[in-house]
Amino acid sequence: MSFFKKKSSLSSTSNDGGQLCEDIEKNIRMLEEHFCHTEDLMKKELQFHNRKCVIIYLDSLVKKELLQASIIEPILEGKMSEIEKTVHAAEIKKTSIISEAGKNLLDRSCVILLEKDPQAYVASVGGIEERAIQEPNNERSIKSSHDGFIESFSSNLQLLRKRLKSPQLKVKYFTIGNFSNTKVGMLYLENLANKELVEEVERRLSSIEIDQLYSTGELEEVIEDHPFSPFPQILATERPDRAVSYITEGKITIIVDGNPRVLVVPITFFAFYQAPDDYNSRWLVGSFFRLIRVFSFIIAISLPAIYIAIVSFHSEVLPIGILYSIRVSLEYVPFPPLAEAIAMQIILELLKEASIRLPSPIAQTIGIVGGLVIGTAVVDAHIVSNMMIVVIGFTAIASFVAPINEMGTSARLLGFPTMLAASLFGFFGIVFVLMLIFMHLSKLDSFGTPYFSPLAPFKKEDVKDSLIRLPLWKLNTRPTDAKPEYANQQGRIRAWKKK
Amino acid sequence: MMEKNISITKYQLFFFMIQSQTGLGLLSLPNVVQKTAKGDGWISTLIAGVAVQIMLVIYWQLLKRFPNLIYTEITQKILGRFLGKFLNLFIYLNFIFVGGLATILFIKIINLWLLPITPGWIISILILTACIYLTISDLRMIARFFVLATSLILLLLFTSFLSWFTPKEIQYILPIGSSGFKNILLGTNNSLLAMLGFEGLLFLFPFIIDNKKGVLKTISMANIFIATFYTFFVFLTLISFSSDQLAQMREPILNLLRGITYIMVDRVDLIFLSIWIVPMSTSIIAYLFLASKSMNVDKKNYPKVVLLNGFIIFSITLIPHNDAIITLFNKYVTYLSYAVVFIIPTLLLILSFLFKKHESSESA
Repeated sequence: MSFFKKKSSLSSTSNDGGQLCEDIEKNIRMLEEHFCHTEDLMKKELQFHNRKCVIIYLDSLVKKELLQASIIEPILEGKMSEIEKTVHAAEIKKTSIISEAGKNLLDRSCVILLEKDPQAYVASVGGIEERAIQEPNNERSIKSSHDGFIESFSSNLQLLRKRLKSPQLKVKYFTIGNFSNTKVGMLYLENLANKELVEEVERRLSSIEIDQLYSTGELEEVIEDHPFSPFPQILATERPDRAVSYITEGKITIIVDGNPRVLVVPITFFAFYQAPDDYNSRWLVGSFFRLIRVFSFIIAISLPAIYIAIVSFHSEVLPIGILYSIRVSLEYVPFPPLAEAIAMQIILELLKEASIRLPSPIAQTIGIVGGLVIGTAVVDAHIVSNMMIVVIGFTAIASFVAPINEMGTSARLLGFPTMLAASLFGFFGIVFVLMLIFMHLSKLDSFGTPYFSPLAPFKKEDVKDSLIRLPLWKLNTRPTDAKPEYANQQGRIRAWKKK
Repeated sequence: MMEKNISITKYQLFFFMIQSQTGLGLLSLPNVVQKTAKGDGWISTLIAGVAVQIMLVIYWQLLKRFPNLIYTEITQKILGRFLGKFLNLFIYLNFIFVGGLATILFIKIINLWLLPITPGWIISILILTACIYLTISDLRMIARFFVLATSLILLLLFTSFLSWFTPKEIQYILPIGSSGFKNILLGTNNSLLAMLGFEGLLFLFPFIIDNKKGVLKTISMANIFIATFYTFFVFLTLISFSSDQLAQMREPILNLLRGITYIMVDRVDLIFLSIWIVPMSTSIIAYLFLASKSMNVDKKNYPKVVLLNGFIIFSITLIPHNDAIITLFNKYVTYLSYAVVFIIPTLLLILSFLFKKHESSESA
């Protein structure tokens, strides 16, 4: 149990290694001291076969009915002579270490102490209110399943196990955070996932020294390879179907207790542009949408920049007809195109930020203000040209196309340096920035897997289920970016056709 | 030497060769070739392809004897430490100068077509920043990017098909062979320069996974691709423009595309050139990489060397360059290239045959 070891001296209290003794009063005192005499630590004294018996629990963490029905009543009845057989609990643990008992108390258990017994009996009586399973708000789908992860570790695990009823699905627990003691679990298919990858993820998870870990976002930052890169290198999803499909590719998912977002490593760039719906549409439709989404990435980065470059440097690229209409719309605008574009982008971000957290009736107002006031009035006032509104609107829509929001935001963010370069160096600037971005993408690694695979390095057999989606009966091998132990994933699945 | 994490596949080698060979040369190739070969320029490029193929076979024979050494290590192995190091200096200088020349021509084209007023040193800084950023990482990542960039070459090939709709005159290249054998060979000489870059094999060979067999096939395929690609473009230009017109065009390929007009896009040449920036940069990256490799430094010092070489190339581009200086510079670099790319490897092969030296033998 290496993950129970203390990683730093930050949280160790004085009686950490303390052992329980035969004196029950002293044991109670030691536990109370371990919990710094907190007032929600409850004690209940009972008699069990004429021995003094004390039940200790944290008032806030246990379900009273459960405690009454499965612990207190059986003890009072006292049918059996041993405490382990008396108590109605799925699992009853014994421990003689104070800190161990304390850990269990914090994990929604109660501790039973007996007179003249140096052991503490730990039984789980927990019950914490959970949110119902519902469709995740930020990853909606039309044709796929509508359940989503919630804040409870066990429910999330259940959602995954429900879909992968295989004994090979393995969970490894970690406890991260000296104060928060957050339960973190990594899941993978034992014989499929690459051994080195499993070791690497284990190594990174078990080496974290931190006092509190609340969210998957924090964990993401702690274990990712390139913290300075603008691209997300770990996929966080709220969709169980999505997580399961990655597990069957030999990837590893990481669940953090209390978080509805589940991490998937290693991940490639193109995974951020896939959606579960692709597999429930006809393959031509699915492929089409995937190509459209990747195209949207390019648009989100470069469209305003291309517009700026054309207007300020290379107007000769456009034929006279189009050029005329652009020039007319620019006629009364006093600002350079770069200022126009950046102002509009910032307004757009502000509108988006403002409407996210507002209750929906007010958010509608924001929509009207944004659409009418900013959209029309700004043009009428000759502050921004009509053409720029079209360009920025198109860019914004393109950036929202990404099924995983982070990637769209990254793309929009990368649009700013591209715009700046375009306004300084025209087409050359755009190509320069795009070249840097693609060089960066070719250089990125996620847990030892090339991030821009299957395009760089080019893997012919992986393109069929990344950039496009070929029909299911063509996908005989699983994607190899996570280096699974074996690639074959199906036999002749249209065998009925053979006469 | 054979570290797992810096190895590339044969597949990537193919694209590495293509990317380091295509680049600056192509745009002005028809102009250069027609100076001597006139309408038979396309034959010149074909012959150049054959010449490169012969050289590749020589490389192959040489590298087969030293499968784990790069060019600059082979020279030391065969000629001894002192003479080997002396030769390596020339090899290094060659790559630095070719890289510098490529950057200068790059800046010139950008200044001429895209950014007439922007000072050259800014373009130089930008382009070298990008090049250093990629070169500083290991070979695998360079290879990945080169494979990615090759998709652009295909895009450009497609663009060139559009120009079939501009007027063509087959009379320009008739009668075939009218320029005379000597002029065609002189044209070959000129087009060989555009094809330089294949010497990269001398440095890549030890890093190819499973380099015992199949490499010759891969590099031959790459060479056939390049030769066909160049011949196609030269041919296309030769039947579009007369010799008199070509003589006045610095970058005939761009002029060729300038003639195409659509309802949405007027100047296809500008878009073509913007995209062509990437293949031009990959050539510079290749030379920066080769120059840094030829210094035989260990892995720890490699990034420093790349930075240093990048700075040296930047300094070369700072030298005021008018056409006369560039022509002169070009001439001397050409001589150096001929020595490094053609003569030294051939000599090394002959010597290694004479002294029966191969990798397992004791070093002198």
